[in-house]
Amino acid sequence: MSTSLFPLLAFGFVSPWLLWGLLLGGLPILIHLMHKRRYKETHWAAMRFLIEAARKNSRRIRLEQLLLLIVRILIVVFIVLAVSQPFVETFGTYFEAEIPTHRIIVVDASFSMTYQSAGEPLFDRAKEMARQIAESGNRGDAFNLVRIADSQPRAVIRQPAYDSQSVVEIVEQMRPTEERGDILSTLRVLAELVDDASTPGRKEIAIITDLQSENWSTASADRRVDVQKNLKDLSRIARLIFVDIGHPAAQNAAITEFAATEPFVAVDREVSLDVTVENFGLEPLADQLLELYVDGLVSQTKRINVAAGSETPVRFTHTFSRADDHRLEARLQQDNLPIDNHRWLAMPVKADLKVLLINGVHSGTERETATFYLQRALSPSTATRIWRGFIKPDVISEGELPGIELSRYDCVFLCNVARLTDRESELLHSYVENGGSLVISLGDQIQAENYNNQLYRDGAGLLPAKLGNRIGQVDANQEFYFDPQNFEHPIVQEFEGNPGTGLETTLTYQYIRAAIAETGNSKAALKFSSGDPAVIDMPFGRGRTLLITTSLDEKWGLWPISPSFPPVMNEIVLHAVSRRANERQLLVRQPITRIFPTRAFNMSAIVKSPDQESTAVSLTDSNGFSRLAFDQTTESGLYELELGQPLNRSELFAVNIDARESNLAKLEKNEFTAELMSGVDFEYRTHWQEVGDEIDVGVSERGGLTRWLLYAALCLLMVELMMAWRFRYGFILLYGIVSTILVRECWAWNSLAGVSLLFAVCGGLVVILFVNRDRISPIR
Amino acid sequence: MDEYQKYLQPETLAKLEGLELKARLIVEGYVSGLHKSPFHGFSAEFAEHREYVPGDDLRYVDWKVFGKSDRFYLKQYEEETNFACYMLLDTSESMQYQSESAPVSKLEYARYVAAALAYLVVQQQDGVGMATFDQTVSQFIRASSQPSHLKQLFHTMEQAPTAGETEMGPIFHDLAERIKKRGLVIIFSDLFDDLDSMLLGLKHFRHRRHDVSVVQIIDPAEQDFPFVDPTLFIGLENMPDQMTDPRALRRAYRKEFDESLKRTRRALRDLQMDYVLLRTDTPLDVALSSFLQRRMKLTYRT
Repeated sequence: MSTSLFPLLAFGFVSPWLLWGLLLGGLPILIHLMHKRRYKETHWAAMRFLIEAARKNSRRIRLEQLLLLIVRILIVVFIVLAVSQPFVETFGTYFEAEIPTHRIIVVDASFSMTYQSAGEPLFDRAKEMARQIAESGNRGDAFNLVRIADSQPRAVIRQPAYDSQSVVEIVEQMRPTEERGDILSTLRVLAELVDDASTPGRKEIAIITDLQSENWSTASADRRVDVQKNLKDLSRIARLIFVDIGHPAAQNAAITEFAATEPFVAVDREVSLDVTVENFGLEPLADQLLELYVDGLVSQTKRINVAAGSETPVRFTHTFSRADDHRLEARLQQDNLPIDNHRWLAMPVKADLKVLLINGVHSGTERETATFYLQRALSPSTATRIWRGFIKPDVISEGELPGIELSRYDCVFLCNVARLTDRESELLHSYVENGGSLVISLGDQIQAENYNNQLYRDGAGLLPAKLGNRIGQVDANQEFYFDPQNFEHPIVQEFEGNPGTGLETTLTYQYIRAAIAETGNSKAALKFSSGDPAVIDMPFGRGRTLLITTSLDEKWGLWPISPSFPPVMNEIVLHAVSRRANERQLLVRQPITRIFPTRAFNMSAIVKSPDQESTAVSLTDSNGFSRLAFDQTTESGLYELELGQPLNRSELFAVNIDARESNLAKLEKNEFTAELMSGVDFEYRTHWQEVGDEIDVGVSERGGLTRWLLYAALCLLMVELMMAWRFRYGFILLYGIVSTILVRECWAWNSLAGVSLLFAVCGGLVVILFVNRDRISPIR
Repeated sequence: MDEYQKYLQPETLAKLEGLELKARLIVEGYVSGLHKSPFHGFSAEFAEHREYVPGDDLRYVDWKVFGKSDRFYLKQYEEETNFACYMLLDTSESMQYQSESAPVSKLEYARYVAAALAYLVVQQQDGVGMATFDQTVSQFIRASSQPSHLKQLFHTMEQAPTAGETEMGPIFHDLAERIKKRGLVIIFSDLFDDLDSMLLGLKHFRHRRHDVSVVQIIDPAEQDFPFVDPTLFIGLENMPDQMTDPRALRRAYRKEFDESLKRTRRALRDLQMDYVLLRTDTPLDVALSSFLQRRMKLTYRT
């Protein structure tokens, strides 16, 4: 509904800039004035008669000249107004319009629009309405087509299209996305489109949407303000029509989470898989079938109940017998929105967790190396007993680092390495950015300045904190104990309630003070009793870095020989690799990216989409590394990245929908008006046919005066010609024209009144003719 | 006969030199179309009755007397030996006016008519005199029937200066005093003057028992007002200028002009004076005819 306060006065121009032509209305005045100055001269003997005649008729002559001037001005004014294509709201169907309009059709293409209502997806209904809008346009209308989605292109038809049939064809080709609806970005695109000066001045935006709260009424106050402002700005320029096709009480259940509880899944080890099912509807769900598929086969099923408006966690367990990337799918019984009834998990299962230990201490005695205790803590095999744990550490010296392909390792330990070259720093940075896990332990060889320059980089690098001075001296017998910080961090969580592990009694004599920046996402997982951090955790890129500020050998403390050392080291490794587990899980439209530290330009890379379509992806060179990016993750499912030589492996990626879009709760009309459209002029509809009728009426109501103005100008032109020749004839003609129009309108309103007026007009004409009977006769 | 007809067109006459020639051509052209002299019975004055004898012209029987007495008596008229005709010619500035469509000016046309009439009068062996006037009487020539006198008249007419406005009332008073002997006074003017003042002067002639004919000569444009474009009308005889759109004023002007003509005609009729309206585009034979035939009617009426 229009909220215009003064509908009768609502007036506008399609091409207002042409109103400058109204200045031409002054032309008759100018001509009139100039004409007065151009005259003939003649001597005249019978002056007394002329003077007397002029005296007696001066008033009449002035009136006639004024009327003629007015007629001439009106001719110019009417023509200029007509060319400016004015339109007037609510003026009855008297002024019928065929004003070219710039029509922008906005279709909500978020996946909530695939909800089946009355057996038909909402999106199909939206397409039908869009088609009707395109077909109901007038000649000269310009069309844009915009979709509400989370990705580009939002403007499906960006350049204005004047052929409605082509618009209909493009509408038919539209498909819903599996994305959320980014309203703010769409509104910004609309603002760009209405600014197009090449399109007609009269604007109309029809937004066909389900008015989902998740999309329209976001929780962020700043964003809501932005949306309101954009809508208000648009309403000033264009007529806003909202077509609400959302289902008022849509029932929907969805799998909102599907993940493994452990960050690293190894062969022959049971892994827990947590599935969260959420019921967004108002009706409880009973006895719903939930299935777990592993590599395409049903592994387990469960029957679940989910109360209305709540979520239910479900746990499956599974043991993988083969080291490979496995395809997992959780599938819920179908409802009216099937797209969110399944969720995928790409599960890389490995035989072992490869850990690289880089030893920075060169010694002939193995015990004196920096990695001795660490290696045994992670894999305590002896000559007689082979450790059957899945963590497999490899030890190299620091000199071998440049030649190692770090991506083969799940975790890398840098142990008391004195300094790093630029190349080594780049290697480590790219490794961690690409999802690798790096643990840096310090020691007596550390050159803090080099570490700060190469790895900290003023907070931009992968080092979680800036290294400072050494604290404590072995000789001075200073003792520092661990403070587990209430066991909040995952690496110490297992120690809560277990004092026998000796974590809090572990003795350290020396460490390097590390300053955690206040801004940033570094967190102290473990502190010393002095308050300085002992273990600092920081996510970096797609990976993670942990900094251990003391050494992992006996030189700076007794920790390596403490009973807490092995479990802490194992937890550190597991925590470090936890991010990597998530690198395979993406949302729709998030790109699949990989960085390869070797110059693998010629390596082939093919991505196979869930619909089995294969796309070759080329690698690009990025600072000496090979970078791969695939952004066509438009549909949910499992994508397979096949890498050729020299890597020769394939990796699975799970692309899932953003589960927030599964909440189909919508804004009703009053909520929508109150929350977003306060003070904004707009129309609200639920069907297009109604809109179509109203728009037809509205088109009439907002009818242009162009044609009538041109008719009026034409009539006045004839009147002017007649008046200039014989004023009274012209006056009679004007009288006749005006009378005809008035009688016609009066007749249409009321036939009796029309007849009466007709008689009155005829009588008036008789009077005029009688009064001027002498003057109207041809001049002798 | 046809040869003389062409000399009745004012535009043709305008090309000729000499008023005498023009007058002769006019008259001969006019007379050639008639069977008898137009001046027959012209200005004859009734003298007495005599008894009818067989053979007398029955046209002169006084039927009123017969009706009373049953006896036939003839009217006898005075000889015209004392008949004098004075041509009063208005030579004021307004008479100079000649529109684009007019062949000659009003003054020129008046000369033609006056000259033709003077010619006719002299041919009848009657006397003709003349006066020209504008602000005052500029020329006055006593009546004479000598043919040579006609030359003088024509010369005077042609040479009469034209200037300024005229005020006919006082001039007529003056002329009425000068023309002592009763006769025919023919006034040639456009009569663009105050009517009341003019009538007062004309009444003086009436008082002197003169027979007055007024010939109003106008330019076709003054009657038709054919102007189209916005025009600045420059007034003659010290009248103010008027800037106007003629098309807007045409009807009103014509109405004013026609009403003025009507008033003049009515006033002169009331004074029992003859009035003839002539346009300068009227052929001279028509002009003479309209004047002389009116004179004939007047004569028979008495």
